[in-house]
Amino acid sequence: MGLFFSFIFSRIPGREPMRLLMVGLDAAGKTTVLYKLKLGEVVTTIPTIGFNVETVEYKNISFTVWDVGGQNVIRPLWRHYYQNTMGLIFVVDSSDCERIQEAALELQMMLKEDALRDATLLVLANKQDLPNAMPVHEMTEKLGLHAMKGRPWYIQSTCATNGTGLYEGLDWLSSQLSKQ
Amino acid sequence: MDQQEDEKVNYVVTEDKQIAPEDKEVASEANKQGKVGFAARKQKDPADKLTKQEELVRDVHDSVSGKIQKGKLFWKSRESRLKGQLLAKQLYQEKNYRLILTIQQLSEDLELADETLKAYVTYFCFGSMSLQESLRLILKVFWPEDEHEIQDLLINHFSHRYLTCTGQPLTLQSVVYYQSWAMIILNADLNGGHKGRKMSCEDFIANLNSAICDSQYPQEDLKNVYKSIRKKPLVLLKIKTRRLDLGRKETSIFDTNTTTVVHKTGKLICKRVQDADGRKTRKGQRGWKTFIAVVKGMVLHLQKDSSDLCEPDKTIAISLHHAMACSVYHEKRDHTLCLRSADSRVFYFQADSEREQKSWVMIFNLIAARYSAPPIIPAPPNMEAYHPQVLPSSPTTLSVEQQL
Repeated sequence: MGLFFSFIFSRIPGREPMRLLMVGLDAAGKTTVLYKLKLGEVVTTIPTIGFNVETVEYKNISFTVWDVGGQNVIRPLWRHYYQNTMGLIFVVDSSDCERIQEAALELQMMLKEDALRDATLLVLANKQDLPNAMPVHEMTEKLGLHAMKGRPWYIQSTCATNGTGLYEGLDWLSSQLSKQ
Repeated sequence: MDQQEDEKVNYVVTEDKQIAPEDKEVASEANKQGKVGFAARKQKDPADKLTKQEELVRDVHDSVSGKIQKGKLFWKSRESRLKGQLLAKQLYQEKNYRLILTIQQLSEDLELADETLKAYVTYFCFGSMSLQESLRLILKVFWPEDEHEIQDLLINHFSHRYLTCTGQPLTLQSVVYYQSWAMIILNADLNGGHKGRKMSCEDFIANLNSAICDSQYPQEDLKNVYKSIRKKPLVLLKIKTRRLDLGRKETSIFDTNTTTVVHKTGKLICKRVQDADGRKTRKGQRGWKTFIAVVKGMVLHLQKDSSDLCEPDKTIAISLHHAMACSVYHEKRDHTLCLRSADSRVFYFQADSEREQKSWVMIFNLIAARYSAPPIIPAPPNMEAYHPQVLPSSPTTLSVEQQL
């Protein structure tokens, strides 16, 4: 009987907080994404050396988002914080054609982390409003997402400064995570 | 002591000056030669000689500008050191609002910030305190929340100062630096008010040990650090310099796209038919209710009376992007219309008259057509993931001609 009830409770979507980790190269727009979600407004940001952490409430789910700096000296200190992470948000600057390879390498490196084995991946192709932004399918190819096996992923084109695509990305993440 | 230093500076600078005119002469000579060479090339083009001369000219130029730069840098660093010391004193003595101004000034000039914080930490004497106590002491009086570069400089200089005070070798600086950051991160995790699973003690120790491979942190110490941070949170004097403090307000999807233009206001009787997940609305919630309807920007607000608009809890907000409205026939009620929103919610409304009914249908469709942004092209699908339909809720950026 107890088993039955715990099964029922596990099926009810509740306010269970989800822990997300947001990474990406420097100047990809991670902090802007975080505060656009949190405050609904664009803030001026500077390179994140430490970290930003905020709880964002959206559609009955609270996300605790850790925004870890791009060029980070204290990166090694993050390894064990990955462990409780259910979703990984990877932010890429779509207009930076030169560093897309670097971003791809960084992504592969992150996904190799043992602690992120089961994490769902959401890629935000940010800065889509810029004139030289790469289209999403090209980015998918360059980031090597198709080669990824056994992990649900989704790529969403966004523009953090006006909020386009951010909630759509979260929508996918929440529906994906609640399915698990 | 100061005078001596000044003399030294003068000496160095005069030396620079002495060298500089000579160099300049050489440079001008070389320049002349260069010009001659340039003229020669026009006539004959003796390539070898010319390139040698050009190289010479470039070398001389480089050495002169390098020396001038050096002199300038020296003066600048000295100036910023003195200014830094002054600012450090200010930082230590000032309280509250002046601090913000000082930090803003520092964030614009990182060299100055470096010097300032270097001088700032010397005001603290850690003596025989433990690292944790020292860190608590300094964070309690100074923590620029939004200035990550200044935070990093602070921890850097703090770790240096701590080692000097406690008489430990300075080679341990990176160890202290990492441990300090680890404590700050742990504090944010344990006491930041965030829900979910927290970092465990074992993980904290393993994490720190894996961060620096060559030196192991003593286990017992770290256990105590973990326990005491868990029991007694680090107190940070958070000084906000950038963001407006909007408090812990819940974000609503409608915050972002509300433009202030009110398109239409009027009385509507509303019935919810279908919810966002596509299921029929539950029985208790399906009744007809009277609302004051306000179409503001891209959003239809349904409120109990006209003053409620500012209170989000009391109103129902329906975003009209990619919505569709049409008039429908209802057995029991007249002048009804149906509205289907982008997230597949369905509402029935009863208007006062046939004219009103048409007017509402038109305004809903007009706004949906005018402000809905074109759908985002989804990425090539991936079999294991669920793909929602992506209809952006933000208003379009296209002009009227492009949009319609």
